[in-house]
Formats: sequence, structure tokens, C-alpha cells
Amino acid sequence: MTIYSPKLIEEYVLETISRVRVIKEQCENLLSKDFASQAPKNLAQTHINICHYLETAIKSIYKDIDWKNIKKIESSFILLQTTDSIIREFGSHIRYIDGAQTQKVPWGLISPLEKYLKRFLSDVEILFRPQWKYNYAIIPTNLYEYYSKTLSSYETHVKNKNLSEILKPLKKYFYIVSFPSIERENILLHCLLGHEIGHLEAKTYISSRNKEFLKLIQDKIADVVNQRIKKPEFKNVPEEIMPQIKQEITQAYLKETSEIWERGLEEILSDIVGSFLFGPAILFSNLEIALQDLNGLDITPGKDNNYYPPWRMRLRNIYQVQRDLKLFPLQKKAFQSKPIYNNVSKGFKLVENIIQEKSDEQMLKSNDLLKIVYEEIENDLVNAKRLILIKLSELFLLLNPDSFYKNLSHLIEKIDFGVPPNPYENSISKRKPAAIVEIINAAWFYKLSWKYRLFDKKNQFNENIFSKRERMNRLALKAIEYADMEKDYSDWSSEKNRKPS
Amino acid sequence: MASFNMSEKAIIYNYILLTSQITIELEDVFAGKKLTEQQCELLKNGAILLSKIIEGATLVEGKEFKNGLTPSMEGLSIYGYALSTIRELNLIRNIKEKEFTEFFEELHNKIQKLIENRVGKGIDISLLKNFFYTFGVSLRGDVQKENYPTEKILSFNKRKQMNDYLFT
Repeated sequence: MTIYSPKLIEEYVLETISRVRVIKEQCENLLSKDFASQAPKNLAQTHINICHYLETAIKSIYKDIDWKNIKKIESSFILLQTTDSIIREFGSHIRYIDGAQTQKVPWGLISPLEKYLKRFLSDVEILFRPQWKYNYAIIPTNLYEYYSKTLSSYETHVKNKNLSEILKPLKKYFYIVSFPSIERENILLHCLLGHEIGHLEAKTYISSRNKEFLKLIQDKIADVVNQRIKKPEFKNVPEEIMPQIKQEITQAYLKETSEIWERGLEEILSDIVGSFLFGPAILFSNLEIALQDLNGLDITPGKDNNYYPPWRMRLRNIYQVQRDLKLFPLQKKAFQSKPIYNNVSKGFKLVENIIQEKSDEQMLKSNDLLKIVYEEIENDLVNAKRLILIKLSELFLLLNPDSFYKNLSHLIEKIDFGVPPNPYENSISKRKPAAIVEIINAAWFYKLSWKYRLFDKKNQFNENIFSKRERMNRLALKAIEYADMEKDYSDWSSEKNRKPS
Repeated sequence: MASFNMSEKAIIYNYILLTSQITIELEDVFAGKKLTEQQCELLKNGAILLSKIIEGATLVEGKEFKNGLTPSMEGLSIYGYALSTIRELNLIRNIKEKEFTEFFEELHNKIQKLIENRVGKGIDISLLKNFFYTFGVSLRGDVQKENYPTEKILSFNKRKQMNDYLFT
């Protein structure tokens, strides 16, 4: 019995349809759950529509099989197998919806974070979800485009359904952003989500420069390949297949070079965007993540590390944004408390010492390919940073040192008193909700201001400092939620007052 | 071939489906049938795929871009699969050095002619059929690769294993 027997194919079709129906059912169940934003529900509804669409496609492909022609049966079976593969792949996306349930996310943070980031990227819908893997990440592929591109081939099989109708619940730009589950309540690292959003801005810049970059490296790569094929390992290659080998090597080199460029530029630009959006907090949180890296600060970008640029270079760029914005050096007048001023300044100095060393740049110069790419990245950073600055300034999102530091001490003091730092309030009638960026930075500055010993005189672990850290997280997370509610209420009431009765 | 991101995956899925659909339609042409309007539409997508391959070939061969084509990452990636197809079908004998672009332009002309004439008379349908079929096979191989559960071996250990193998 061959694999193309009608009985086997019939059974396979039945199982595939069962799979698609299970996905639909699971999405329907998830729709009844509670979510901190609309994004997961929109994704669930889209999947329900996609399941209907794919079930129709499977039935149509099966009915159209020409059982008299073995080649046609084989190709139709491949269509069915590929559809099944797509179904299994799409089915794995349910984990994004499931993970975004209210009880699994820092729910007080999601809505305010969404609102803040939407001021920067207004057309974008983001689904935030925790993941057990320790990683802050974005899937930089637009899910709308991904589904649309994948499903477009079925238009010949499903004639009476429009693809744009199927994908209607999803916004035209829909992205998944993940954070490590175990950091759910760590207020200090959540600003890294600003870096993740930065990927979208970076992608836009990279797509606008892609063609130019490929043309630019064409000749340089040709030279590298010509040198390579002169090496002894190619001596015994038969002459007639040499052109093929040369094509394959050139294609691989061009692809890898553009990958190094794209990944390096993408990460650094995302850092820059995050740095503009979240201020000093992102510098300190990046330093903390850099400390986790077993490869140190000067890792060579390569396939093994997905071409990540060295941390030292990333920190240098983040630091520079803080200098450009004049957020550092700190304004002494803004800090009445000396420990805060001194210790935060020390934190900046620490980074300054790290980035003054140029071991990362020397490492990049020692490799021909990396040297070509990183010279180009340096030019790109100047242009891209200028464009980002213009955009942020037009959106009134540039952090101003005077207003940024004006109330920070007040918020830090509140945390120290065990009160959520959600408003500045001189009195009950003169209060204003704090912004998410201010609250996160207040938490960072507060933590940096601590003077403590990790182990006491009896050499016991200082549990008090651990409790203090936990209390800070709870207060800051609550503050973000309260401030958002207060702002929503105040917007609503001023809107109501404006309307004629 | 390397593993791919989601954007690449969407493209790969799209092309796997397209090459299978084209293979089915070319069977009809091979049997002497006239193409319908709908079949022609499908073959137009095949011509677009060949244009992407030409973009990749032009870039790799360092030639000038013609007919509105431009360098693209998609073209460059897809060209990798086209090179595998050439290797698989042993077509290298038909191609001179630095004339890979011309080879794909010829394939593109063949499919254009078929769309215009709607019948396969005077066109090497076998070559088109084999090309699209084998191209689909190389794409499928990459998607399937992801479905095999593999335990990652740390690259240092992998190198060590290779060295052990080489020295014994």
C-alpha cells in the first residue's frame, strides 16, 4: 500500500480537520477568560476565523484530488500536509493567548504600558505575555502580515471567503512581546519592554536601508569569495562544478553579512529607542542583564549568539542617549537627599568606566567581515538616531531633564515611607498622577540609593534588604496602576464636564 | 539551510503551497490540456517567484538589475533554494559560469510564454515541472527540519566531538 492510497489520505484529512476543530474550541474557551487588554481576545477571535478558513481549504483540496494521476495525487497530498503543518504551527500560537490571562501577567502594568507605548507607535497592537524561558523578547514579525502571507495561497481553494474579513479582529500591526515569568513582579526590569518595542522602529529603518546595504557589500563579498576559493581545500573540486560552489558561497556570505548588519543594528537601535523612552532606568536594567551574560561584555557576534552586538557597545550607546538628553550628569538641585544623588551618580560612573574601555571595538576590527559591517552600522546609527529624535520630539515624548527630575525625589521619598509613588501631592487638592517612566525611574534611583551590607556582622544573609526590595516592587507596581486609574478618571471627568448637559 | 524567522517561514509556506499547485497545473499542460484563466493566474505567481530568484542571482553575480527588479533579502534567501534545486536536478551542465541569472531569466520567459499561449507546445514543460517540484522539495526539507526534536549539543562539545572523530 503506497502513502497515496485513498484510504490513508482520507484518514489523514479527518485527523487534520479534528486538529483544526480542537484549536477553534480552545480559542472559544479562552474567549471566556479574563484578560488585562483586548489584544489576546482579538488574537483568539482571529484564530477561530482562520480555523474555519483552513477547514474549508482542506475539504476543497481533498475534493479536487485527481485520483487518476499519481503526480497530481502526490502534489495534492503535499498541499494537505503543508496545511496540516500550518495548522499545527498556528495551534502553537494559542500559548500567547493563554499566557496573557490576567492572573499570569502584572495586570496593573499592562494597560498603562500599552498606553505609553501607543503614544510612540499608534497603529500597533501588542500582546504582552510571560514565558518560562528567561528572556525579554519580541517576535518582530507582524502577525497580521504573517497570517495573511501564509493564507493567501488558499484563495484559489476558498472562493467565497475574503482574507481581510478573516483577519479583521486583528489590527494591521500586531506583535507579541514576552517577558520572563519569574520577573513578573520585578519593576526594575520591565522598562526593557521599551527596548523590545524599539525593535519595531529599528525594523522600519532597516527595511528602508536594506537594498542599499546589499548593493554596498556586493563587491566586498565578491573579493572575500575570490580569496576563499583560492585556498587549498578547493584544489580538488572538479572544474565543472566550481561555478555552482562559487554561487553557493557568495549567496551564503551575502546572507550572513546582511544578517550580522541587521541584527547588530537592530539591537543597538532598539536600545536607543528604549533609552529615549525610559531614561536612566534602561541603562541600569541593561547593565543588570549584561551581568548575566557568561560570555562577558565583548562577545563576538556570530551564529551561536544570533549575532548579538557586544554589551559594552550597547551600554555605550544607551549611556550616550542619557548624555544627549542631559539626564546625566544629575542635577544636584533636584536631589535634596545626598545618598540618592551620590549613589545614582556612582551608578552612572560605573557604566562610564565600563564603556571607556574599547576592547569591543578592537575585537570587531580584528575580523574582516565584522569590520566591514560595523563601520556601516556606525554610519547608520547617526542617521537612525536623528530620525528617532525627530519622531519623539514631534510626539512630545522626549524626556526633559528639568521636568523629569523635578518630582523624582518626591516619588522616591514616598517609596521610602512605604507609600505607592503614584502622585506628586503637596496637598490633597494639588496633586498630579505620576507617569509610568517616572515611577520606574524612582524605583531604580531608590534602590541605587541604598546603603547596605548583603551579609551582616554575624555573616547572616540580610533578609531585611530582600524584604525592602520586594516592598519596593509591590509599591511601584501598585503606583503604576493607581496613577493610570487616576489619569483615566480625570480624563473622563474633564471630558464629561466639557459636554453640554 | 539555516532555520528561519516567522517572516521567512510565511514566505516558505507560501512557496511550498504555490509550487505544489503549479506542479498540479503543469501536469494538465503536459497532458496537452489548455490552461484556464484561474490556472494562468496561478502560473503568474510562479513567474513572480522566478523574478525573486532572478533578484537573488543578479545580486550574487554582481550584475545590473533590470526590469524593475531590485536587491532584496527575500530574493537572496530564495536564491539559496534555487541553487539547491540546480544541484539536485544536475542542471549545472546547462549553465555557464556567471550565467545563472540568464538561466533563470530563460525559465521566466518559458512560463510567461505558457501564460500567453495557454498551451505547452514548443515549451520545455518537463523542465518547468521538475524545477518547481524539486524547488518545493528543498523548501519542505527546511520546514520539516524544525519538527524533529533535537537536544542541543553545546557548540564547544560539538567541536570536541568532531575533533575526536578526526583524530581517531
